[in-house]
Amino acid sequence: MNTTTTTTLTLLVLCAGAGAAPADTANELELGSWGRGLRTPSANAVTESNLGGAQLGYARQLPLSPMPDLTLWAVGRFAFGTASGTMFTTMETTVDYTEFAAGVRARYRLHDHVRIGARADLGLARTELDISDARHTYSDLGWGPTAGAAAQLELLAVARPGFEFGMRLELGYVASAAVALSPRAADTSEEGTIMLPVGRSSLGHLDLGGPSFGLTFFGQF
Amino acid sequence: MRHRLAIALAAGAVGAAALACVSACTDERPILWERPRTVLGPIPLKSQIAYVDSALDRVTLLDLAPDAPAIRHKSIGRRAILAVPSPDRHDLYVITRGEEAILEGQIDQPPRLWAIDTIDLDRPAVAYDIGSPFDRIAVSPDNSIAVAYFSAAGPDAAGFFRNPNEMAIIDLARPPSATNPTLKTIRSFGSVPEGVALTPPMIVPGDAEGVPRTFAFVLSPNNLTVLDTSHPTRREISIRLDLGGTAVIPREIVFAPNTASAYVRSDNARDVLQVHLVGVPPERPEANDYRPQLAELGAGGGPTDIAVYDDHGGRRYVLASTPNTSEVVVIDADTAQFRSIRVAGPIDRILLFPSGGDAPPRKALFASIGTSGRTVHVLDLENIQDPLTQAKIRTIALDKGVRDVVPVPGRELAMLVHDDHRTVLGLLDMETESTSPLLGVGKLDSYDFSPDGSYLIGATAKIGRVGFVALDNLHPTDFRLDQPPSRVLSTANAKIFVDHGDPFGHATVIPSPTATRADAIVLAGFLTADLLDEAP
Repeated sequence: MNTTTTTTLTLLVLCAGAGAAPADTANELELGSWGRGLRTPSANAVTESNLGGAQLGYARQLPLSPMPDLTLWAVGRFAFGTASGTMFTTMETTVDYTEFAAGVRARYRLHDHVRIGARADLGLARTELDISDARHTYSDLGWGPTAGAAAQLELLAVARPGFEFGMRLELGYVASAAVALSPRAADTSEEGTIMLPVGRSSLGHLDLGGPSFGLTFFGQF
Repeated sequence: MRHRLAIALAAGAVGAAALACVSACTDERPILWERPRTVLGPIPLKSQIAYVDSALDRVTLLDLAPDAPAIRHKSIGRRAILAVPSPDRHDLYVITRGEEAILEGQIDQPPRLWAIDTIDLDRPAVAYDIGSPFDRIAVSPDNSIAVAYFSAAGPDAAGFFRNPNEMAIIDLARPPSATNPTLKTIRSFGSVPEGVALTPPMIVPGDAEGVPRTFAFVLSPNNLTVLDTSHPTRREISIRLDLGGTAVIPREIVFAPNTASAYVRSDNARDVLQVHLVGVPPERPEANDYRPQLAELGAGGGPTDIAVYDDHGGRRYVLASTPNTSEVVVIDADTAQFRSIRVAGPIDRILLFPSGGDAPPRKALFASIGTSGRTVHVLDLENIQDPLTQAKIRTIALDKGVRDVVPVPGRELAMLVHDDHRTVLGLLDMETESTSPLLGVGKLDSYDFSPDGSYLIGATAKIGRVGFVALDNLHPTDFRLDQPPSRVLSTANAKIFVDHGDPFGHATVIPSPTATRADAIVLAGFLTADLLDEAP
């Protein structure tokens, strides 16, 4: 799945919800932090830490209501994060991660100030790995598809008709395609230099999938 | 009521998910990734280059025989500390320290010697339990026997007791067993081994069985120990070198397998010691069936270097330099008759030309390395044994002092190094006895000769070039690299391997000294190839 496909999918989902929306609130903006446990064998190789960062999302309520108090939303999400670590006590590693995802969310009203929900989305992630020691720095990046699902609990501080504001706690799992990486040193040669042909060995595939956690603040209007 | 139940269910689900998440996020990382990593190498083999990774517990072999170099891996034990090639460069021997299972992910593994056939890589590496983490190894010239021993310093601070006179004798022709290796502690008389040399297979005169066998000569201050590695459980024979005065430290040993002899040069000894092994009837079944006969060959002035050669008739001669008497001595090894030849300067380096082939050497080159003498001397060896023939020794004056002399393999040439930084070199043609200067752009940090001796190949650490000198006509050329070199090697198939000193593996392979940049290839990342995919 490439960037164009994901963007198209995101737009389609959001446009589907752009029609007539329920009267109370139709749009949502969220901002918060997230974390992901990195314990795949390949992730263990590069870092002992977990992935963490910030996320920004937009959601639009869909004109569907399968049952009372249940609403469906189209969601789009942008997340970025980083993890750093050490290999073999001397090699510093940094994983930079950027993800674009789109999907749907079901949201059920339990109480005036409490909602529960579930989210499922597909996305595309950019993974960049830097490895350095005292003398060398190598890096490479790759793109790969992701699929995520999460259970959500929302606590609302403000729940008025036409505006809601609250906090969302999210626990889930993200499956991520392992990205092939062949780190290389930065090219410091003069422009136009004809370099020798390089036979580069692959470092392997980095899988950043794992259980995820999110804490965001959102406003609906 | 409905809402309360739903809230309880939601809270339970979130709590369970949180527990799962916390558990997953705090799983232990395999200790493999937190081990210190040392890369041993590059180690030149026949047509391959080997690296040993002490953290990944594997040997990486780059096969340079095909046009596109092939990368292979062989697994070995935990914590490699030493890797040496066999004398014929077909095999690689690696000592791994092993580890104790103290932390999660560690395993109990004893110290081992790994014998790796680098030609037939489908053969599994053979592991011999050597009992102690030895950090030195000597391999016999025919690859049949290895002796692992401790250096004077020992490998590391780990462990409780260390026996510096212990050694493991490994029969490489037999599989590991309860009797292979044999652990043995030699008598020390207060000293510890500084080196072990293994003889080529040799038949001891008087041996009823007439079976060739390998002897280990252990060099220790004031002691020389001889050990029959074919019968490693038999007692070793110790030879006291000193007379109670100044310590006599054996420095150099050369063997004459045809006569079952060894010639030992020692610091603070007046003469060259000949150790001739002769067969004797054993006193009991497990006693030695040989004994050494000792002879002091009359160098007479504290030899600083020796060389051994056989003449056309197979007669063995020992050349010894004795700076105390300003002489070099030619000793008939069979009769101990010697001839002294005066030479100016304290000679401490002897090279023979030609060397390495079947033909006996015709000339000897003498140099004073310790004092950086500005002269070298050439002695004709033909008819040197005839006392009625005048010794022909000639002096070649140089512009600068000599810090090192290196023979060019397969050629009658010697490279003269004139300074500590190896920036000023000279090439001495032993046929014409003339020298030619070679000027480098920087310190010659690494150099090698092509297998046929037709090229000198050199590199300087901070200069992104490899230099070549055609030794036929001294024509210099160079090859521009994309990265500064760390070490340059020439393989047996005449390819040039330039290592760039990178923990990921980074090397330039130049097919021949005359190749252009279009012919070369850079290999990158071979030391960490598929690292993520093979992660435990």
